[in-house]
Amino acid sequence: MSDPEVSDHQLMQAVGSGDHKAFGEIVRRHQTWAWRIAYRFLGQDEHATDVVQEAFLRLLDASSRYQATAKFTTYFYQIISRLCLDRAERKRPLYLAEIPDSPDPRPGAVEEIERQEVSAGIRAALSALPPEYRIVIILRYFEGLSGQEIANVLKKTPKGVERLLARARKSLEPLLRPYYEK
Amino acid sequence: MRCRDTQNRLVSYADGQLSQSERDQVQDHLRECQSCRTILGELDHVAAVLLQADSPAVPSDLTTRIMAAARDHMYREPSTSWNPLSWWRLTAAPMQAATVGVLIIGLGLGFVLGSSAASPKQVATTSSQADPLDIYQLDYLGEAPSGSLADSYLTLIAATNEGGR
Repeated sequence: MSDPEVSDHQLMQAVGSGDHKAFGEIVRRHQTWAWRIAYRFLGQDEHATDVVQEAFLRLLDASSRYQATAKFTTYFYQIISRLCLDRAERKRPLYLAEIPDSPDPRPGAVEEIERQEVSAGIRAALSALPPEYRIVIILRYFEGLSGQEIANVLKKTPKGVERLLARARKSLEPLLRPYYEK
Repeated sequence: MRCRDTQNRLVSYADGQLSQSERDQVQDHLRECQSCRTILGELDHVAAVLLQADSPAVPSDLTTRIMAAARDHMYREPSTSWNPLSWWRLTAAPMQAATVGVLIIGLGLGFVLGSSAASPKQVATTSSQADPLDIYQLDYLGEAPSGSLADSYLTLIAATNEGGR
């Protein structure tokens, strides 16, 4: 079942017929990007893992009535986004910056620390955004989805996504200004 | 991907118009190349900065945890709020169709066999004409027929009661 020629739709139909190996292949193909979205949104490993676990269980439950009406990835993006937004209503993300107190003398260490500071700053800036802004920024800039694709995922109109993205960028720009490269 | 190829695609990248594979190639290059990120920054500051973020490391046991949760989910104990139709949800579509077919055939056979059974007695049109004994077959509440064993028994009991006092 790890044949790349087998489509996600075919795998889901196999899962619906009780094929556990097909489910394992679905997990293998999609767990990484799903987890990264959840982590960038929620800010903690365990919460991201919980969300991704729940998302795959929902796929399992839906498999017997699954129909290929849209791209599988769009469908799974919808599940992940919905779970992240639901979770955000209950809890604000908490990014734990792990910057060492004393400088590391090894060559390249300073650049590494600067890179970590920038990453921590970006995560903190994302966590400061309202959940709806945060999810469109992640889908647009980290997942590279187009406006139409984001609209399909979030069940909004393309115009609605454009407006949301514009407001999200406006909120994010001052937070990211310290990290603009000259 | 080289700088020239990346820079040719930056406008499309900033507008989200690249295919997934092209996007991945451009992102991989941008993460390593500051000069291309600077050019992207002139188009889109936010995109250029966000590219500097680390790609978070996925937990090494993620697959194991997902598959274990899936196994538990499929074989979990019934909850205290019993759902009599929960088995239906877990049944595959062909089995559901077979179950519905068997039910229809069973009901149909029952109807056919039931309608061919002896029809019940006609019910009287008015209550004044109806004899309950005929309608409800409650003959055990009527008098014992003369000369029958029940009649003899009742006569004996009556005689015993009068004599025994």
